[in-house]
Amino acid sequence: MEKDRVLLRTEGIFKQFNGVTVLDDVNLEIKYGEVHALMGENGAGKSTIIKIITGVYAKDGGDVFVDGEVVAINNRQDARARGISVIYQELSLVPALTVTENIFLGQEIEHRGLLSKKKMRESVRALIGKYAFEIDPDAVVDSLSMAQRQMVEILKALSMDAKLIIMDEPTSSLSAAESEKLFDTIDGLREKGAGILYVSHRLEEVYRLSDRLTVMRDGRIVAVLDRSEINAKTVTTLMIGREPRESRARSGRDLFKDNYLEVKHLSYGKLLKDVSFTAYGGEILGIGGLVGSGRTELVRCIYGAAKQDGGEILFNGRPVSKRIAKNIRMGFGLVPEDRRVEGFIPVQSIEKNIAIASHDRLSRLGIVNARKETRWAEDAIQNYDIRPKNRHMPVANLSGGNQQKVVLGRWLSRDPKLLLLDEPTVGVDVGVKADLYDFMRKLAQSGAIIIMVSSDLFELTHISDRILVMHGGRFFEEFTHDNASQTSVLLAASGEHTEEGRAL
Amino acid sequence: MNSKITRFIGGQWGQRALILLLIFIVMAVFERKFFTPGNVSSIFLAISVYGIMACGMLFVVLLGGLDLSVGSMAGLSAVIISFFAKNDNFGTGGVLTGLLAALAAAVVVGWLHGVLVTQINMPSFVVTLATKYILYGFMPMITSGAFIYITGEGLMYQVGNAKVLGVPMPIVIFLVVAVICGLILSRTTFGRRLYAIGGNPTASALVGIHVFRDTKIAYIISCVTAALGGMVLCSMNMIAGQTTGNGYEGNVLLAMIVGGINLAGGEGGVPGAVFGALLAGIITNLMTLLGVSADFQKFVQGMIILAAITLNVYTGRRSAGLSAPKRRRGKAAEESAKQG
Repeated sequence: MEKDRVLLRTEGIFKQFNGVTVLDDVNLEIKYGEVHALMGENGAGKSTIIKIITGVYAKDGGDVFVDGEVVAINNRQDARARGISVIYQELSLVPALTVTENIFLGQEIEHRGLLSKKKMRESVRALIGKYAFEIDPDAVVDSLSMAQRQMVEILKALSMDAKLIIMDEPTSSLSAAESEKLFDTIDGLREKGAGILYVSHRLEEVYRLSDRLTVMRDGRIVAVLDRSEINAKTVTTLMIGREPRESRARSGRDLFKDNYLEVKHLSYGKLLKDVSFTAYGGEILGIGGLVGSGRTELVRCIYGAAKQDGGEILFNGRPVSKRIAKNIRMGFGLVPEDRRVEGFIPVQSIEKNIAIASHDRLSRLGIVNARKETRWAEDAIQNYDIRPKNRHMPVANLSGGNQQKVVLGRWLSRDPKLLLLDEPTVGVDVGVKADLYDFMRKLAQSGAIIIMVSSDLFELTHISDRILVMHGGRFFEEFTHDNASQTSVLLAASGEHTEEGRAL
Repeated sequence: MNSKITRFIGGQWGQRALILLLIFIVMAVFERKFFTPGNVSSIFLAISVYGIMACGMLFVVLLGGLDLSVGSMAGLSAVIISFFAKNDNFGTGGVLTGLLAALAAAVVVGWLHGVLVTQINMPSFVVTLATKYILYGFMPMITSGAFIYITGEGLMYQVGNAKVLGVPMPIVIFLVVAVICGLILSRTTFGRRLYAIGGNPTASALVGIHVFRDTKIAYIISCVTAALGGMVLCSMNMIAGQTTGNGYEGNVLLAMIVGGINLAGGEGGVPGAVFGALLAGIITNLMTLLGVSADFQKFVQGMIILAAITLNVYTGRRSAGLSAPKRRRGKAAEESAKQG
């Protein structure tokens, strides 16, 4: 593997889903012995191009070259045969097996029908030696740290003679020390001439690692930067593009000072360290930050779904309960991050899904008043325009947007005093999005506190009255609605101070 | 109106009615004895015990669990009641004391199941299979290995043999249990919560449901109805011993499955369980009338269970999108998230 020779090149890659162009004329180039970073906002097309290179998706146009030759990659096996391997975020190891067994899973070396354990172990030893990994080939994967498991994944790729290793957000489940170990591993791989395509949201990692950076936006490559050209300002501007400044002006909001939530010195595991803020009724407080920055854990602690290690949460001056049921009766509501897993009960009807959180109002002595329950659901379906307008329809059969309306409607129909929203519009179509924003706005105007965690920068900067951006387990900067721009919020989330924000 | 009829015929209840009708036609043609009053009443007597037990086990199945201990729980209950009754010469006081003791035992066993399934996160079929063996091992300590014969015509005899307006007492008890369980599931907040937990425990916890507490209650209900079933069973047979209730969990499971209760949880109801018990009872009775040996009956039961499950999967009542991911965010996941 000689360095600086082009390992993989794509030319004019084009891809559509249901008539919508998701990749347009993508020309990506990765060389031997380079760490090539790939950045872009959610939906920019990073995952799609990776899936085309690795044979998960078929391309609708363009060519892929490996070592200068056009290759057809129709499935994962083709990709592997060409030396392309992906390390996925969700690791694919079998926890009960050893490192060696995992590496040779499905490609075991056999001798007369029996496993040749010795040979396999030796070849793993040789690989470990070559890349100077700190790992025991006989260790059971279950006993390894997340960083070590990633090493096993990398070894697995190397054992299949991978020359291009693609890593998609590899540090999302690693601690800082573990990440550092992974970076050393990556340095070692580069040294040995392997090409690495490194997808990350984290600017500091990209600085630390990459030789070159490709930035994608709206399915196109907008820039390829050399190491010397990489800086936060340039990268975030490239990722976001030009910002629409119109339609952002708005008058000041009236705050309801008698309805407030105080969080004081909250800490939770390694994710939250000393988080403090106060939110008032009448405002939509946006919480920005990178995925995995502790935003979800923050709202879960407030709601009572997670127990903080330290600090206080006060609602109108009184400590918040650790029991969700009690908090709901006080007027709390949570629209969780992953609505499929946490938000609704798929087999159950719209009616049951909406009423499930309001049995305190729809029953007496444990007996449900079915007529009240029906009316409650019918009202919600009407008020929040849930479609189809059939309360018996199982929620699994609804569109993503209407599912979210069910989850939101469950709380809105209770007139909550504090509504926590975690990525409320992911997978929701544009029309429904506007409805959801409208409901949030109206609820805030009625005096409720709304705390919205979002990775959608447009949503964060346009819907929130105030934005707190998390970085490193703390609130890093605060923006008002008027001075928040997508670029500055993204910069703050990456740990760069901005002119617009107020440092905290 | 027309569409209502087609929906009924195409729907679950239409299919059930069709199955029963088919069986009745087959019976009318092949086996005259089936429709004699004596036989009909014996079918109902037989299914009353399964039915009582099925109504309770339904609570556990709705959570996506199984209770394989119900047969042994019925046996234990029969033995405990008879033991106390015998010491009192089968007087009312002794029977009632025995019943209280049996119910207390059922609550303890059910609660234990609930704790192991929730707090320790053990699979329910393993837990309840283990207690099944434990209970069978425990029974000889009460009976000293012998059968207890129930004598006299006291309360114990009445439970199994009396008639209310011409309806045998076991059937009355079955109907009462079915109605109570049906009302709990369809009318109470507890019932609503059970369906929610069975459909998606994670989402249920996030709307303030005490998933662990409600799960424990469901397991207790399953054991309590099993204990009631055991009482009815031994008072019908006038005998209690180690073999009482042996293997009944299989029949109850059969009732669940042919009754269309989704073993993955979240779907089904008492009408389904009752229908299942009825169908299971009829099939067993049919085989007996046709002179099928007891061993071969087991074979048929097993085949029916497999066929019913296959049919269930094949017709895809739960399409891919409908199956909720279960217990993904347990305590362990919470902890690992904390480690960040």
